[in-house]
Amino acid sequence: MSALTYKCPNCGGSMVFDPQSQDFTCEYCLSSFCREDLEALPLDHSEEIQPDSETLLYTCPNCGAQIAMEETTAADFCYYCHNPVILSGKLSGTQMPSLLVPFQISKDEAKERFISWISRKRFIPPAFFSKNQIEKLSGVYFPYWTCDRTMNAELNGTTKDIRIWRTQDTEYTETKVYSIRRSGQVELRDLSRNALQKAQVRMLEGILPFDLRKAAPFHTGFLSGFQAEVKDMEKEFFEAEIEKETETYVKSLLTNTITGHGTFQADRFFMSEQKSVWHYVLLPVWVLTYRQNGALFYFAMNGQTGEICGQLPVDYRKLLAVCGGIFAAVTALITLLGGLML
Amino acid sequence: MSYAKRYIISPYLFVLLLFCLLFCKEIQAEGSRRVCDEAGIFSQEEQQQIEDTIQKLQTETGMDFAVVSTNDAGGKSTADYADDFYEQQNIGTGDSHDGMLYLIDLDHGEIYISTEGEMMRYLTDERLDRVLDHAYEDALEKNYAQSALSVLQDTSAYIKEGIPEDQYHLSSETGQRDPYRKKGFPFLSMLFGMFAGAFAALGIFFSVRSQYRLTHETYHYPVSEKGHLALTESSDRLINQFVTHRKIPRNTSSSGSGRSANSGRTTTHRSGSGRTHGGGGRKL
Repeated sequence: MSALTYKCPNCGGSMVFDPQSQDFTCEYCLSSFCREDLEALPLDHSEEIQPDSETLLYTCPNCGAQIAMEETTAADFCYYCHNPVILSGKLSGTQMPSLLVPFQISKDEAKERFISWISRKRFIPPAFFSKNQIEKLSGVYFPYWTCDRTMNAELNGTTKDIRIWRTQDTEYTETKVYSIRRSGQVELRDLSRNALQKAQVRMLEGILPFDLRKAAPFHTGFLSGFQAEVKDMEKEFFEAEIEKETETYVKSLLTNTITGHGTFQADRFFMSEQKSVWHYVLLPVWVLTYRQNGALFYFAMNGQTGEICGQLPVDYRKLLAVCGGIFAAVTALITLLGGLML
Repeated sequence: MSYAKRYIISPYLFVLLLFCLLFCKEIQAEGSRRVCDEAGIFSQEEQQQIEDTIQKLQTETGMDFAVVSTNDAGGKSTADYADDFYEQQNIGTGDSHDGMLYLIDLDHGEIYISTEGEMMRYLTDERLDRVLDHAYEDALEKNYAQSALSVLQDTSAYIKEGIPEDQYHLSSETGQRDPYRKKGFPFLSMLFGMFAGAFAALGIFFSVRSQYRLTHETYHYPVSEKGHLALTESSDRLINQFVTHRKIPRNTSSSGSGRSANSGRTTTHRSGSGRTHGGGGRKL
């Protein structure tokens, strides 16, 4: 398996993908190339030295130093010369993603968004976030499974419509029972699952959804200048879960069409699969790991939409003070209102 | 001559009244004396006995009591004399001048009770009638001290009984009703408030904590955005229809207590100074 680097034809410096221009830029001479130009360029390869069970050693195509990478890591930087290195062999065969959503938020924009997100959080300890830490922000392509499904479904049940009216001293209750039947074809797009075991699942699913209509066919060039992880969980692992989820959504879509009636009571539901298309995709995520007082906090930002999800420490003194204030205010208000009404 | 007499006597009366007022003020200044016997109808012992009863009631009820006798109302009606005396002598406790005054007016041959503040809530017209009924017998037999004591005791008994729930003030001048609202600390509301407050506070606490710690599901699939339904069949078929009916029970609100509809009424009037009094009297 070989490590590759995209070299600038003008100066020989390494080229990275630029989220702002969506082109490839040389970090040294600032030359810019589109994807077609990149594909025409000769690649700079180096050979793998020594395989290991957990980590693999590669030679940096730029400085020749040995780089250790974890089994699921497909793109990273050389520790010594900071040259972007892509392990193209890890992205071939069954590990070849069908789609990739390129980064659309640049590192600078991601930093700004993180800082503004943190500053909106009221219950974090005052000295929690230092701006120096944000330099450790890294762009990572994470592996996800997404599934587009087409289902045939049928829902049967009854509703009871109740109307009550009064004439003098008699109350009338009219009950109309309707038999309801709905059937049709349901399409669900982008049912997504994180496909990397070691990942922080809640965090990576918290930044969903991605707009997969803007996904591009996979090309290793997009990984240049970013880290990338490959999947270690196959789609079969999620099939049962996705099936259950599909049933919930299909039912809800069909039920939502029952309008103008009382409460709906479902008697029979039937669903059959017409088509399921699974995509193994790499999705862009800005990741920040933050250590404070021995505790680790993880943040992730959707590299396409800017949605942020992360763990934060809670300033309990502040939170308890606010909750205490709310308790006192609600108690006082209701007591006062009660006193006035009595 | 009669004019001269009147002009000579009037200053005397004036001085006498002034002296009496000063004397009464002195009584009040002493802090607890609330008997003003201008007509001289009580013996020393009787005065003391009434005074003791008043003191006891003041401590028990936190309201003020006074017993006044006069044989010259100074041209005022009994009711006006009682109300004015009440106000001029600063009878009554608190901002609302809670208290009552029992006047034995020998000038008009009338007994009269003037009430103000919270006391008007306790002594409704019906209760006032009963108090006067009771006192009237003794007053008629010139047993004035006994009548005063009976007024005080009856009033005390009614205070212990509490304000009737259906009590309301009815202004004799404007006809305006002012229903009684139970004052006192709304413990039930506070308890409810504490529950609601605790619910709100705990809700916010756990919601913030869960958001910060990422302990809850963070992603909900946007079904309406990413799901699409093409209906091939949609039918709503009426399969059954029926009507049931029931008699609405009549709201029979007549109470079985046998109390008259006006039992909670306290008729109020304004005194010359504009303060509101309750009260009533009997001709002897």
